[in-house]
Amino acid sequence: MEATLRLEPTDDGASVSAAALQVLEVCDRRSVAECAALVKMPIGVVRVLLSDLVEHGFIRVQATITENSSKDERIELIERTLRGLRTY
Amino acid sequence: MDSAPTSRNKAASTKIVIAGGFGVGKTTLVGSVSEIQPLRTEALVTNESEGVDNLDAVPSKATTTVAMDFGRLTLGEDLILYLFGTPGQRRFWFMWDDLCLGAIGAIVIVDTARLDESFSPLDYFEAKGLPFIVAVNQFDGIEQYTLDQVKAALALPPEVPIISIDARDRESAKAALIRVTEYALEHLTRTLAGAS
Repeated sequence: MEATLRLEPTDDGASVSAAALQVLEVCDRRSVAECAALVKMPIGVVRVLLSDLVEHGFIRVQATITENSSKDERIELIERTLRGLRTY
Repeated sequence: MDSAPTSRNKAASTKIVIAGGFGVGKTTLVGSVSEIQPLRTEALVTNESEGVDNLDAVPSKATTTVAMDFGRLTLGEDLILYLFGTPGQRRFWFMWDDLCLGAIGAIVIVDTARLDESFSPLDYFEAKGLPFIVAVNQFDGIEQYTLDQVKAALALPPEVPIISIDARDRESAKAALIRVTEYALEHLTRTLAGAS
């Protein structure tokens, strides 16, 4: 939901649907949730569109903490967040 | 060149969940610290698998829309913090699973006039093992009860921090975010130490 997306350079000529194009236009450096809000589509729909776009190499999903993240990764992220919040 | 792929594998975004009963100040808190106007996104919910709930007004509706408000704080070039205000009702718990996955922690906002509305989020986070703090929103700046009294009334475990906030105030909202992040760190290092 909070994972951020980045446009990838692609020469893939694959055509995308109008809905996917809408998502593609707004998604760079934004989260899945933000895309859904901006294109005014339910989050589940946007997820499906995004996964197609990832599959075709148009975008990549930046790392977030998942169930499989190690404690060290979690601690690193929380410390970074704390530093960021204190100076926000 | 050294600035290129500094952190491809480092988490680029994270989130904190803001929970609490209806109208308790979730969206207000999100709005007071977010760098963007809080956005609203929607998910479709089918009622088929739901038990009896309070959707009496729409008895024949097969699906409902659940709205969720969220905001964003850019904490650095390589880190964005999202705040998600969750629908507090029990029937939306399936969404909480999604929201809580990978979250740093949660802030449960309580209104002392309606303490009962905070029980389900509190139970939920406790069961999930997600670190949470309780923030008593002081609407009128009048403290009707002490934090200790609220803590006792909510039967909170002793280690759970409880603070008083004004959700409309940016610094106050920020302090709550810092507190929950600190607590999440303590929680994580404690579980590491307590493993023996």
